[in-house]
Amino acid sequence: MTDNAIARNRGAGGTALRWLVLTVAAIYFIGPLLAAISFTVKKPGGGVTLSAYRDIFNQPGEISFGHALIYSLLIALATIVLALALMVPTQLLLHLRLPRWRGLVEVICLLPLVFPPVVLVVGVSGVYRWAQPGEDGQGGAAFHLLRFIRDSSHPLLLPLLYAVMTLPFVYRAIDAGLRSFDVATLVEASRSLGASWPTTIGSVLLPSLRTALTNAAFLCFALVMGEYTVASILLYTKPFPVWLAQLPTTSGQVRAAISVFSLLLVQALLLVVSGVGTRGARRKVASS
Amino acid sequence: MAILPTAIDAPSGAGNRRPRSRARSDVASRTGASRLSWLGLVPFFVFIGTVFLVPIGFVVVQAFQRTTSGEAHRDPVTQQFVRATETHTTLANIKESLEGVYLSSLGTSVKLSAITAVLGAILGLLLAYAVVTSRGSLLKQVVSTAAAVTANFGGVPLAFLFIATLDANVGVVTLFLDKHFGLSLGDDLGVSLAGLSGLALVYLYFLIPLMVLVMMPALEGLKVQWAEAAENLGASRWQYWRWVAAPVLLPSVLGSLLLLFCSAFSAYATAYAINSSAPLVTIRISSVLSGNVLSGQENLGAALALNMIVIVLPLTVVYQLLQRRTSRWLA
Repeated sequence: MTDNAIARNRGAGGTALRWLVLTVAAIYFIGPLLAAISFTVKKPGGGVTLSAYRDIFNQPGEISFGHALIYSLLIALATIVLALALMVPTQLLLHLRLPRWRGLVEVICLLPLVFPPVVLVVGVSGVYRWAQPGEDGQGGAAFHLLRFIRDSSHPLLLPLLYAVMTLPFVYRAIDAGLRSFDVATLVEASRSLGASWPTTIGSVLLPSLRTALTNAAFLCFALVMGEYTVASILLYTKPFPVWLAQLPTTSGQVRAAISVFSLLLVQALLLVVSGVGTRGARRKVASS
Repeated sequence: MAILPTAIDAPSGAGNRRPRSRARSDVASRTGASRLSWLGLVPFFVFIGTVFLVPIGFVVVQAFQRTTSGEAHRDPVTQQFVRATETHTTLANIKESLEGVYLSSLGTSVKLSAITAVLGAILGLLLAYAVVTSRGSLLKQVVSTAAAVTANFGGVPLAFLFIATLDANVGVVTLFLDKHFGLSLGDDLGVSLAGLSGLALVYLYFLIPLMVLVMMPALEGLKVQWAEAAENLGASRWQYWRWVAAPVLLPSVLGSLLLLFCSAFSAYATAYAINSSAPLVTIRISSVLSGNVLSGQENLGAALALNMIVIVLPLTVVYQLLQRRTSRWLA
């Protein structure tokens, strides 16, 4: 490391070291992917077949691949809407009016980053054990509400918990976004030109935060689409990762095929989204 | 969008702790209401309170409780047998959670997390450095998105990727080594996917990307001017790294190390998909929670969870302090 500099002075030793690191990393990270792909196309007698990829769509069981994927997608969408609707106004307020509260809110927001989701699940099941109807079927409105959230006909509980788990990412992304431009001046300009608060937020602040919000939304999306711990321990069977994990070992090739497929799919989506994000940012710079 | 009002109001109604929850976040949007603008923070605190802090509180309380059931009797309405239960405060759960398999699973989790966190931090730092100093912006884009996918989406698909690669019976690499070199992955090379070495290998697959993700901005934050200033003052490259770059990066490296530890410590999906009886505390908790309905088992789960909190909480404090230090130079 000693003969390296950041970005500018590159010694020959530095270049060699860099290529060594990149090559080893490429082998470690792409290797299992390639191995898994070769595993999925192997025919039992020898030769190559794509049947595992065809079988992704006709797995036996309660629900299909498409259903599980859409189910998780909807949960992800609900999580994103909830997290952003909660955090954008809160953080705007912190920036504009209540800078003294920022430290406390930040500390709270970063907590879920280090708290194990398993602990949260234990707590939630504890709450529900407490809220179980007693012998006299007691329980007020609060109990009914709790039970409604946990009702097995819909996964309402999951977006609530996921919004907590994605809070650190959402907080950081919005915070970075708000620091990247002068919020107070923009708001003053907009207000003094006669714009109402909704107009100011809708056509001044939100467009400026677009890249930040896209990033936040995408991190939420990746996290929720892959979340297994909370969903499985709380016995939700339909989210995509839970569905994938319950596939029988006998369909090992299909499981690997779905894994490869979903990893590449999410990666492609993220590349597209980050591409859109940067393009948007560039256009903003160009037009300003 | 329709889900929103219910979702935000729901926990506030559930806990009934804050009657002020009626206040809307758009209080902030009323001009001249700055004396009341703190009301705009109420939704946030109500949400985090009911969905995060209350459950954590339940963990702590229930870890010290045990429910014993009395005689069974028939419920007059539902005609089902129910037991009268009695809850009392006790240290029995904590004691049990620190004995035998539970204690050893906690130890194994800590050990595995510490080793993989240190390895992941070193390797991730090297990789982040190599990526940041390379010319191609495409490389940066691909690496950072790939890292985001493996670090966040990861879990079950990653586990199946490694099963296809290294499984003792069907893994592609296992069979390849056996066929061409006559080597057995488990016996000759000592790698067993279901064992701790295998888990460590898979953990690194999401820990290294996590390190890359958090260190890339920090490395990019090192200003060229600092290197130039050091050079102009006659410092060698070693002196620059030792006295300028390292002190600036140290808080964020240490913070990332803690983050990696916590991430490995909380890992459940990957380990469970590879070996559902792996001797880790997260897997013990889930089997205690979902396994059976023996009375007192849930409280044991709470005690195990409390042990995890006790380990993670000091790290959280240190992590937050390090974050402050980091932002001083690398904002």
